[in-house]
Amino acid sequence: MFSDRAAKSGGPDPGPEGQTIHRAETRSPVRGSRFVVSRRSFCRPYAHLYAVRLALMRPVLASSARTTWGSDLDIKKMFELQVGVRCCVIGTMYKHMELRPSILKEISGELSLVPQPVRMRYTDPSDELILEDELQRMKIVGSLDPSDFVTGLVVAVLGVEKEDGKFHVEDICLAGIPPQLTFTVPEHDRFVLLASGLGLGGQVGDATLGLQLLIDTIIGQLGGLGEQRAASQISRVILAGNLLSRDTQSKDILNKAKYLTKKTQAASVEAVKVLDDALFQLCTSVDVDAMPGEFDPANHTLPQQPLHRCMLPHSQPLSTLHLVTNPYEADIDGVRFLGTSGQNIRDIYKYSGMDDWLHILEWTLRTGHMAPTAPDTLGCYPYYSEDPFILKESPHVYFCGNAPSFQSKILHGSEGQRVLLLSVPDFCTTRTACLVCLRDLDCQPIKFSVFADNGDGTEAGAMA
Amino acid sequence: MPQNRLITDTLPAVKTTESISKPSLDVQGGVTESELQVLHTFDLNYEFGPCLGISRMQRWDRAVHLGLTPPQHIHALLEYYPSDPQVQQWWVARTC
Repeated sequence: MFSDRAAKSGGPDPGPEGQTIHRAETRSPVRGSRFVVSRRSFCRPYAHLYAVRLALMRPVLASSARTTWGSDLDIKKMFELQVGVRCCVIGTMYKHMELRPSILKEISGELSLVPQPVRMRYTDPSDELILEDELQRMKIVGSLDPSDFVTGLVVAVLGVEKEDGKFHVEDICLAGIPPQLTFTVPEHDRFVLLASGLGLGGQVGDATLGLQLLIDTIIGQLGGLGEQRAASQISRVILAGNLLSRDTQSKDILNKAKYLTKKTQAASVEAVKVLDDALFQLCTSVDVDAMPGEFDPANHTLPQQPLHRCMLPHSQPLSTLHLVTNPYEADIDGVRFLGTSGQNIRDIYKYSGMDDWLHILEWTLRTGHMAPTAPDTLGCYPYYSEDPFILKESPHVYFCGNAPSFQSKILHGSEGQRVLLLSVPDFCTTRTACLVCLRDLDCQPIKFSVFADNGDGTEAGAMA
Repeated sequence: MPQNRLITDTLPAVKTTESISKPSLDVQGGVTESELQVLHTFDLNYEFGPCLGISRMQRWDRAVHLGLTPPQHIHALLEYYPSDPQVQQWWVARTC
């Protein structure tokens, strides 16, 4: 691992003076283009996306259901159902939620009715599940907990329709972990560093010092020869969204009268300058993939398109800066990375009973869909002939950014899939980045505690 | 000074013409009523998904992409009248 390496070679090996340590090189990554929106037409209804999602996932679910419940399984459409006959139905789930924010309720607030309380999560014991296919919908009850599911998920259910018109579910089947591309083991140890939520331009001042320590460590300006050698093994840095802080999105400008805010500058202007400076320092030494996030100056709906180059005048001419989409997908030395800046996981967290970010991440892989809540509660481009969020193949590293804490896990699938699940913590609050070793998919957090809580020093790169 | 002055006194009222002229549904450019009826039946076929907001050709292509078999004569009709908005249903996409 990275820290062993840094400690091992950091011993009494002074090395010749003026020795140059070369950055580990990787082949230029093969990037998928499925998240690039080329023709932007927003006049379509979202019905197309649900229809396409169901049509594309139906065969996957049918085969998954047949392996689970036997090959002679009777899979029917909803209009073919007969009362009392046990069969399997494939459909899109809709979760009826009483607490879900609604624009109609907001308007009723203006009519001096009770305003909606501000909530962190919208689940309630009274939530109901409804299954829909192309033609109709039906309530599903039985051995399933509504808090385990979200709207937009395509599932297969086994059960019986009873006299009350409800479908009584015995068992439920998800699409399962998709097949995986073969994993080509890189010849040398290479590391990819992931960080998210840099939070530039925020109210908290000392985030910049942590960031500077991170940059100095990566570009080899910190530590002894051992640390520098170890840092030279970092072949790529992925910044997973929220490069700017939430504070840069001040509501003042929107709420105040135009003539009062005419001369004020948007808070994000200064922050982008700091970002440009930070990216410039990084890019002089290492390849950087910068993804946009929830608070960044990019479009709000998923898939978020790359930040515009003109915002970064200093770092933009460097060929090592890669402005990429969110979700991010690329093959780095034969290792497939797939991940988002965390909006999809945060949204599922809000609308389901699942608490753990890594668990939600794993669950989205098992459901075969990255963002089931899009387009219901998560903004999404109105696709009509494809659903790019369907996972047709498993990545080797599946990550989400802006998580509350660092977590990682190796997930083994039934067909020999091996996926590293990784929740990349918010750097601004946790001062933690993640290092992934491409050879064995080992993962380690790297923490930059400045004036550490236990008071034992100001040394950077205190690796956990 | 007259009391009830209207803004139209100084600025003449301009009647905005509808920017999108919906083609009338009567026969024009050679498309017959029965052909339109055939196309309309295709629109209402639920197997090929929703039809609002996209052109008929896009819907036909999507059906092929999803592994379905949309009727070939629809494709022939769409190719036969390539610039007729009534056949292609372009206005649906243009109204927004």
